[in-house]
Amino acid sequence: MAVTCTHCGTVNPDDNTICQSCGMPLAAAPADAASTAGSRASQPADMPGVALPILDEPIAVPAGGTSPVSPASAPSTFLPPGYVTGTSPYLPAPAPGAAPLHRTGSLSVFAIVGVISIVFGGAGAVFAALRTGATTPPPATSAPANVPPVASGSSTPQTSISASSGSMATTPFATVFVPSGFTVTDQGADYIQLTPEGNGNEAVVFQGEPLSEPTTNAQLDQDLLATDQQNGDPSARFCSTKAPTKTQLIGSGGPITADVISVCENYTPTGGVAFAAVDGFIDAVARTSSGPLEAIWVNIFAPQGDYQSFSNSLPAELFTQATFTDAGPTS
Amino acid sequence: MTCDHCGKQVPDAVFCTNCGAHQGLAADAIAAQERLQHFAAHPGEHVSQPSLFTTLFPHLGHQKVHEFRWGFLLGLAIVVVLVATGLIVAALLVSIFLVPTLYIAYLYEAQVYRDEPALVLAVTLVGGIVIGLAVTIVADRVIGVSVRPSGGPIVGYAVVLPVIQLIVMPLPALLLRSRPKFGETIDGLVFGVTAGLGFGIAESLVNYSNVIAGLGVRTASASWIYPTASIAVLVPLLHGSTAGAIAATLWRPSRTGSGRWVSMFGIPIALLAAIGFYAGSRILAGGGVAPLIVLLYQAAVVVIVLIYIRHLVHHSLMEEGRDLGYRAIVCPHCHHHVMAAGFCPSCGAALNASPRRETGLVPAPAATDPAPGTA
Repeated sequence: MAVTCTHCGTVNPDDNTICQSCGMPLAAAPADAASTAGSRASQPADMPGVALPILDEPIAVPAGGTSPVSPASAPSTFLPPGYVTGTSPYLPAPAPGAAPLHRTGSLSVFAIVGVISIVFGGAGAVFAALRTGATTPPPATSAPANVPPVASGSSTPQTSISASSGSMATTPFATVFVPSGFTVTDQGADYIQLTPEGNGNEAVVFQGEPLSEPTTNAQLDQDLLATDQQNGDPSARFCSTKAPTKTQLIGSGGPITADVISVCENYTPTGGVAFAAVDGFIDAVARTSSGPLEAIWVNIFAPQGDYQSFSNSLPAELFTQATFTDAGPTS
Repeated sequence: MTCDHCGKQVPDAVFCTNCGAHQGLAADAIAAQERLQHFAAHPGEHVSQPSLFTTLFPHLGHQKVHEFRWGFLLGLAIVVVLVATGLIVAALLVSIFLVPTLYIAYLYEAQVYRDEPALVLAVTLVGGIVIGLAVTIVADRVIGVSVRPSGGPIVGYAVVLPVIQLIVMPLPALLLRSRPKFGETIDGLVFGVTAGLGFGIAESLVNYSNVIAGLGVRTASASWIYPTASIAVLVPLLHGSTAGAIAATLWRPSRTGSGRWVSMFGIPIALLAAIGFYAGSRILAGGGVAPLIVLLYQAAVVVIVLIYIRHLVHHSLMEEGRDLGYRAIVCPHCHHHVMAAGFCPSCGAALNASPRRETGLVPAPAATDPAPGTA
C-alpha cells in the first residue's frame, strides 16, 4: 500500500519511513506526538526560523527548565513531533525563493570599506587643503629641501608663505606661524623667537634640540626648571599660572605628546631691572625619523603680571599650524 | 539517539540539538558538554583561539566572517597607503571610523537589534559617543594634567582614567537590558561592544582634534604609522572588548554551572586589562622601548580580553541554548538545512548566535491539513 506524504504529496512505497521526495517523515511517532506537552514558550519569540511545515503543534520542552540534565537521569524525549527515530535530521535543500541566508551581498563589506575611505579620507584631505591652502608644508623627513640653511643667530626669518592673519616662518627645525602683530626678533638653527611689536618683555620661543640621553617628558620638565634655577633665579619654581592647554605638539612625523608647565622666577635682563616673570612651557620629547630623541618646546615668556593676558591673547594658529620638522612620537 | 550528556532522545547527529554536547565523548560527559574545542558561536574554532571577528562579531556565519575579515584588512591597507603618501589627516579619519563602521554593517547583517535598529543604535552607539565626548573633554580640560599621557602621575592616567571609562562605557548598553527581547548574554556583548566603539570614536576625535585641525594635507609619514595603527585597531578593540565583557557579564547575573564562575572574572579582567594597557604602554614608552614592541604589548593585552570573552560567550551560549524549541533552519555556519533546537545537529553552532531573522527557510506551508496526531 502506497503512502502519501502529507508534506509534499509524493506517493511513496509503503515500506518507506521518510518521503523519497522531500525527506520528511511519513508517519508520526505516537510517543513523540504525545510528548509534545510543552509549548514554544521556551523559544524566544525572535529566534530565527519557523516551525517545520508538518510541525504545527507545540513541541517538546522537557521539564526542568534550563537546568542541566544528568546522564544518569531517565531519558526523556526531545524530538520534533513526527520525527522517526533513526532518521536523518537533515532536510532537503530550501526551495527556490526561500529567504536569503545573508542580508548583505558578498561584496558589500568591501564596498562599505571603500565608501568610508572615500568619504572620510576625502573629507580629511579636502578639509586640510581648504584650511591650510598654500601654506601646506612640503612632505619631508628631514629639513625641507627648498629651505636654505639658516645660520645660528641670524635675525632674518625665512618668511615664506602668507597666511590670512599672519605668515609662516620656516626654520630647519620647524615651520611656525607668525601671527599678525608679531615679529621675528631672533632666530637660530634650533630656535625662533616671536615678539609682539612694541613690547620687548613678552615673547614666544619655539625650540628644538637633540637629546644626548633617553629621557621622559617629566624629566624634561625638571630639566627646564633646573635650567631656570641655574641660569636665572635659584628660587625659580613650578607655579600654578596657567598656560594654553596644548598637550600635543604637531610633528611632521606624527603627534607629539606634550606637557604644560610654568616656572615662576625673578628675571633680570642684561642691564635692566629685575621683575617677576613666568616661563610657560609646552614641552615634549620627540623622536626623529632616524631614531634619536630630541626635546622640543614652545616657551611663552612674560612678566608675571602680564603673563595670563598675554597667554590668553595668543591665537590658536600659533599652536595648530606650527609643525616641528622630522619630529614624531616616541612610541 | 540518546544524548551522551543530557540523556534526552534527540535526532541522530554529531551534536545534541538540545544541549549542544558533542556526541561520542560519553566517557567524559562534562568535556562533551563544555566542548571547548568547538566554540559555540563558531564550532570550527577552539574556545581559546584568539580570533577577533568570531569573538566580537559572533553572529556572522562562516562565510561572512571571512568577508568582514578581508574587508577590515582592506581598510587597514588603505590606511597604510594614506600614511605612506603623507595624507595623515585622511588616514586618521579613516582609522577612527573603520572598525565602528564595520560593526554597524555587522549589526545590519545579523540584525541583532531585531526590529528596533533606531533604538539600539541611538542608545548604544550614539550614547557611547556622547559619553566619550563628555569623559574625554572633562578629563583633558578639567582634570587636566593628572590624567594625561605624560607629565602627571601614572596613577591618574593609568588607573583613575581607565576606571572611570570602564564605569561609564557599558552604561548605554545596560539601558537595553530591561527589554525582554534582548535577554541573552550575546546581546549584552554586542551592545557593549557597540557602546565601547562609540566611546572610542569620541575619544580619538577629541585627542587628535588639534592634529586633524592643524596638520597640512601632506605631511612626512615617518612615525605616523604607530598612532594610526593604535587608532585603527587597538583603541577600538580595547574599548569595545572591555565594555563588551562588562556588559555581557552583567547581562545575566543568574547564570548556573560553568558560566557562573566564568562570569565572575569579567569585571576584574576588564579592569586589569585597561590598567595594564595604559600603564604598561606608558612605562614601556618612557623606557625607550621600540614603538613596535609597545604596539605588540597593547595587542597582547587586547587578546587576553578577547579570549576571556570567548569563554564567557561559549559557556553562556551552551547554557542559554538549552531546551529551546525546534524549527527548520539553514545553519548560518555549516549551511545545512536541518531540524534544530538550540544547536545545529550538524556542526553544533549555538543558534542564539545566528542572525536574528529567518534565513534560508522552507517557505511557510499552507495551513490546511493538520499534522497527523496533532488534531
